Amino acid sequence: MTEEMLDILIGKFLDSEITPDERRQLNEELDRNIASRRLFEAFHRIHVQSRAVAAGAGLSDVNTDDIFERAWRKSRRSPVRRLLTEWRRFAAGVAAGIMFGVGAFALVLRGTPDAGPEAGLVANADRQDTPAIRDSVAELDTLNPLPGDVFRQVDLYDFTDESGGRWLLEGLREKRIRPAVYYQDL
Amino acid sequence: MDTAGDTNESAMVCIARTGDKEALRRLLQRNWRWLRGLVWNFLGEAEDVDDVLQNVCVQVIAQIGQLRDPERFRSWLAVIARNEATRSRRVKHRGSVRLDEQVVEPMHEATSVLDRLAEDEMAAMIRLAIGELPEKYREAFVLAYCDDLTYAQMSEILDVPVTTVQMRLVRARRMIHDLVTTGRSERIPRT
Repeated sequence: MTEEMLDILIGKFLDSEITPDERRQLNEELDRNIASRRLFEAFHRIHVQSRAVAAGAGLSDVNTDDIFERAWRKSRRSPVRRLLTEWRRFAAGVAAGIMFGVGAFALVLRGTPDAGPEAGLVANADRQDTPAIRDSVAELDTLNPLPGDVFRQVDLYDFTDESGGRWLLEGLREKRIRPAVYYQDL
Repeated sequence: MDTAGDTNESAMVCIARTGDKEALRRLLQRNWRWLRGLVWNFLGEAEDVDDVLQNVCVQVIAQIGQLRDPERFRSWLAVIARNEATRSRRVKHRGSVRLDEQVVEPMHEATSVLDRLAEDEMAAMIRLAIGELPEKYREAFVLAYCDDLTYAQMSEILDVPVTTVQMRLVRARRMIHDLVTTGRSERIPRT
């Protein structure tokens, strides 16, 4: 048996982690090798003394309950400060939300394409529920099919510019539009 | 590993997350011995250990609601304890832990005076040797001797595989043995 294997088996024995088979191997080794037996005795001595040394870690005049009670009181001592902290968190969340909203709104305002119709306010841009629009939606669904239960929740507008180019526009919200998709024949 | 015990502990963690004082108290009491050993390993002084443990309790009370996985309570607790111990050590500008300076009563199972002297000497040498161990070996060793933990429980606390725990203990024992018998260890790993 190698020295390292012997170290492992002795260690597992001392830590009560040894299996019956390993115990048998260890016993056989100790029976036939006096050097192994001496090593076992030395490790056992270290084991016993180490318990005494480590027991020092458990020595304290202060009771566990006392420490816990002090900690509990300390953590409950300042409800005002806790409330302030919670309010700060809430305020930070609200501020972040507002900033995000403003940023998103600014992005929507700037969402202009390089060419094609200008995005912007469209006066009285009510939904143009014409055959042309329905055709555009159908074509879009064909090109980019959506999974079973999903429906497009946008208004799509068919637009022809001065040079005769045709554009598909997506209605983002009431009275706002932007170019949605440009297809070869649309 | 004590599966039933761990299951109960996870359930207790769930209750403690609601702010239940009794569940928190029982959780901490249950893990107190190894927690104390872990902090003591960092600091080496019993008085400081109590202060740090109190801070650990405060942190646990404050943060238990943020613990997502109750199964990982022990490793989470160990991280808090290490952080608090490190912070305390840094504040006091202390160097490495000197377990050899601790006054610990040796076990007096031997009967004669000579035997006692030999035991005392042996205990002192072991204290010195433990203090000489590299941090991670000393941590595993102290943890093993502070509480009756299985390898699996130690692996949970140290957040390393069971085989790593086993090998750290084997090497720590070998290093202590070599230091005690020859006064030096050829096998102290660099890490």
